[in-house]
Amino acid sequence: MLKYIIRRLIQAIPTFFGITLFTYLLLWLAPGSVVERLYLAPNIKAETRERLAKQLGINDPFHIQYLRWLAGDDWLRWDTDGDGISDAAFTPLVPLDEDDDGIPEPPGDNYGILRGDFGRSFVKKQPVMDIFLANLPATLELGIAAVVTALAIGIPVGVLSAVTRGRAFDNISRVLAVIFDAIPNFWLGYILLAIFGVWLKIAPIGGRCVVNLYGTCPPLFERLIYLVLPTVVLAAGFVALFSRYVRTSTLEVLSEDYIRTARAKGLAPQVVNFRHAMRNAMIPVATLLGPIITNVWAGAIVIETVFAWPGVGRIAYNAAVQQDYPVVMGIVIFASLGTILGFLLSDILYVLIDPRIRID
Amino acid sequence: MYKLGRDLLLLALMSLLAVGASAQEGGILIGTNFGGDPTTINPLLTNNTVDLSLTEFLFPNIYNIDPVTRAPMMGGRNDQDNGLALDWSLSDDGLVYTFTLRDDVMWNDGTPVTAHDYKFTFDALASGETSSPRGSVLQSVESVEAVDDTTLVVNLKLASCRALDELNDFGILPKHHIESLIDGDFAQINDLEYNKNPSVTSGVFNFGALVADEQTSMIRNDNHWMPVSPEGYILRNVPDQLVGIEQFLAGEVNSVGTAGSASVPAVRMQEFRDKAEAGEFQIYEYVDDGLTFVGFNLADRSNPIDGLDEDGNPADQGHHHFFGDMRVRQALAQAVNYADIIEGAAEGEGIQVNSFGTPALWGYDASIEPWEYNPDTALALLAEAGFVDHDDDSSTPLVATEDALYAEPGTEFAFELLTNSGNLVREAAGTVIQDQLGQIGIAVDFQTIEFGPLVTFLLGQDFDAIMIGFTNLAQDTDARNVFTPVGDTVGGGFNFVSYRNDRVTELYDQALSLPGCDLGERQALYHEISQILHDEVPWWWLFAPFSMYAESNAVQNWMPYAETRYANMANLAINP
Repeated sequence: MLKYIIRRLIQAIPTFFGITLFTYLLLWLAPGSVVERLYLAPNIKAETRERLAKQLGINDPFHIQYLRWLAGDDWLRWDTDGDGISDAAFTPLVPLDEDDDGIPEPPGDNYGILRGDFGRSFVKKQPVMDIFLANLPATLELGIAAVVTALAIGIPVGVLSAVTRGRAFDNISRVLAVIFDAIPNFWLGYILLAIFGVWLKIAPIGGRCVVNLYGTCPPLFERLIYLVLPTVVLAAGFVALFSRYVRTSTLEVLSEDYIRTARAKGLAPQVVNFRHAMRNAMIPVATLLGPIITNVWAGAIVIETVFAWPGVGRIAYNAAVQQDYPVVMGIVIFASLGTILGFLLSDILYVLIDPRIRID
Repeated sequence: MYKLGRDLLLLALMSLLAVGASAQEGGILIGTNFGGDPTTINPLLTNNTVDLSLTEFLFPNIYNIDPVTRAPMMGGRNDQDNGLALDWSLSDDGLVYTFTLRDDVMWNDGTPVTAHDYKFTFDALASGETSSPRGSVLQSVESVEAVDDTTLVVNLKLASCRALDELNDFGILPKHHIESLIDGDFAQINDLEYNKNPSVTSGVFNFGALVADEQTSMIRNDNHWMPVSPEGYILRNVPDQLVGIEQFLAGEVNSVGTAGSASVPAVRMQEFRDKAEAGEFQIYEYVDDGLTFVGFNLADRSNPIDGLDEDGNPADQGHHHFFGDMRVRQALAQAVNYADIIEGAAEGEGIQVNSFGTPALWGYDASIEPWEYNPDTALALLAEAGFVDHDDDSSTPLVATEDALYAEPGTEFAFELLTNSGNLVREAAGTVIQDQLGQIGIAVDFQTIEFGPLVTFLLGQDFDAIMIGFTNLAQDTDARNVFTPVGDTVGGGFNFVSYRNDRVTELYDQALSLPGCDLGERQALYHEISQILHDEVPWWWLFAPFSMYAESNAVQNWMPYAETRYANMANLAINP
C-alpha cells in the first residue's frame, strides 16, 4: 500500500507541473493586466502605470515570470557583499543593469513555490499564503459541513430508495434527486435567503459571524445558524449524487447470493440492508470522494459569493477577475493538490472498504 | 374626565416625540461594502472607493472640500473639516504656495501633526519608489519645504490651477512612525504591515480590524480634537448587491453602500423612494459624477500612431472612414432617442448630458442644449456627408457615395461598437443604439467583450466605437489628457479617440495657467470647451446616472451631500 501511495505521488508530480505551466500560460495570454484594471483613469499617467507594471514584473517575458514564480528570483541577480546592490546576474536570462541607468538592479527577494514562497498578491500586497490561510477555515467549515450532511442524508436515502424500489419513497426521492441536481446553487441560495432570511426572518441574510468593532468571531457552535443555509445549498447537489449512486449500487448488491443467504437465515431486514448490503454498496461512493473535493471548491466560489461567506472561493473569484496572478496560481495549486490527493484517497478507501481489492 | 384623559394622552405623545427627537449618543454605524476588502489603508497608496471610505476618517488632509461648492475649505473648525490648513497664499508669479497649518491636531499616539509629516508623505511619492498612483502632482510641483511645524511651502514647476487639487490628492502619513519602519527606503512603504493595520492615525476614528472578506471596522478616537459621537463604523463585506440590499431592508445594516459609494441600484430606486416616503428609512438623491459615453475613433484604426511626433508637432494619423467626418458624428448624435437609452439602460434613473462631465462638476455648462432625437435631420446630415440609402430599403445599410470624405464609394455604413461584458447598463444602452441606428440604415456590430481585451483595444486605439464610463469626475474639469494631443499616445493615453482642436488645447492651457486661478474665469473657459466638445462630438455624450444613498432611521443627525455621504460623521448618533 505504502509503495502504491508513493508511486502515485511521484506520478502526480509531472501532472502538477503541467497544470501550473498551463494555467500560468493561460493567465499570461489573457489580454489586459492588473495594472490596467486597477489604475485606468485619466488622472493616472501612462508612465505611472508603466512604473507600477514594472514593479510587479508583469511586463517581463513569459519564461522569466514563470521561472520567478516557480523558483524565485533571488538567483537571477545576486549580491555577494550584502550592500543591497547586485554584483552578478544570470545573464542568459536577465541583465545586471536592466534599465541601463548605470546602477545594477537589486536582487530579487522571491523564493518561488518550489521553496514554499507563493509570492505576494499584486492587489492586496500580502503573501498569498497569508491570504489563503485567512480564508481557508471558512471554506473547510462549509465544505466539511456540506459533505457530512450529504453523506448523512444521501446514503440512507439511497439505501431506503433501493429497498423500497418502485414505491412512493423511491419515486419521490428520485424525482427530488433530479431536481436538486439540476437546480443552480446560486438560485437555490437566493430562494432560501428570501424565505428564511427576508420573509421568515429566522436566519441571517449571509455572513459567517455577527459583525463587531473588534473583528472577533465566536466558536462555531455559537454561530451554527450562519452555517445552515450555505450548507444546505452546497449539500443539495451532493445529496442527490450520493443517493442515486447508493441506490444503484444497493440494488446490485441486493441481488447478490449472500444477501439472499442472509435473508434465508432469517436476519431482520434492517440488519440485511444496513449491515450487509450497505457496506458493499459504499464502494462506488468511495470513488466519489475525490471529485467531491473538486466540487466543493467549485461550489464554494458561487455559494460564498451569494452568502457573503468569507472563504477561499471568494479569493479565487476576485483574483481571477483582477488578474492577480500569484493568488490565482496559489489557488490553482491548492485545488490541484486537493484533487490529486482526493483521488488518491478514493483509491485507498476503495481498498479499505472492499478487502478483495489489492493494490500493488 | 375626558379632558384629563386627552391631556395625559397629549403629554405622553409629546414625551415620545421628545425622546424621538433627541438622538441617542454613540452607536455603531454599519455599512454594506460591495467592493471587496480594502487593498490598502495607506492614504498614499489608496486607489478605490473602499480604501477611500476608510482613509477619509483616519488620516488628515491638507484641506477639506466644501461639500456644497466643492471648493477648498480652509480655516474652518467644524465637523465637516478634517483639513490641516488654516490659511494659504499664492505668490504673485503663481509659483509658490504657502500654507499655515494648525498646531493642535495630534496623531493618536500624542505626537502633533506637522508640516514635516506632509513633506515626508510628498517626498515618498516623489521618490517614485512607492506604488502610489498619484504621480500627476509631480507634473506641477517641484518641491515641498517644511519651514517649521506649521508652515508649509510648495514650489511649483509651472503655474497650475490644478496644483491645489493635486496637493490634496492624498492623506498625510505620520512621519515619526513610518520613518521608523522603512529604514530610509521609501520602497518599503509598499509592503508595510501598517498598510493593513494603521496603528498611528489622526481622524475621527482609530483603525479597528480587517477580517478578510468579512468586515473592516474603525473605532471612535476619544482623543480627537472634537467630540466624536459614533462608537465605530463597520463596513460589512457583501459581494452580492442583492443580498446587501436585503440586509438593509431587514435591518441588519444601517446603510446601503459605504461612505464612498451610494449603491442603491436603479432598478430598486422607485421602491426605495416609496419606502422612504412611508418613513421606513432615509434617502438622499443626486446626479452621479460618472458619465457613460461612446468614444468615436477619429483616426485611421489600421495604423494607430501618437498624436504628436517626436518633435512635438501634430502627426498625420489619417481619418476614420466614417467618424473622421464630424457631420457623421453629429448625425449619429441625433439618430437615437436618449430617453429610450436612459430607460433601457438605467430604468430611467439618469439624465442626458450635453458634453464632457456631468452636472456634478463645477465646470459643467448646464445651459448647453443636449443633442435631440431627430432621425430626419440625421439622415439629411448623412446624405450631405455622402452616405445614402441606395435601394430605398431601410433594412439595408446606407452606402458611401463619392461625396464621402474618407470612405471608399460603395462602402456600407457598418461599424463595430464595443463595451465590457457584465455591465448590464452598457449592454442595454448598446442594444438600444444598435436597434435605433439599424432603423436608419446603420448596421452596428455590437460586441460585449471582457474588460481586459476591451482596455487593450481602447488604449491601442484599435476600434471603431467603444462604450465605457468615467466616474469620480468631480474633482476638476481639466481634461487635457483626454481631449488634447498630450493624451493621444497609443498604448497608454486617454485621448484614445485622437481628438484634436487647437482652440480646445489653447483653452485648456489658459484655464490651467490663469493668473489667480479665479474659479469663475476658469469656469467660463471650460464652458467654451464644453460647447466645442458638444458640437464636434468626439465622444457621443449619453447620460449620467442618478445616485441614491439609503440610511436607516436609526442614523440620527444625518447630513448627506452629493459625493459626501457623511460630512458630519462625528455628530452622527446611531440608535440601537
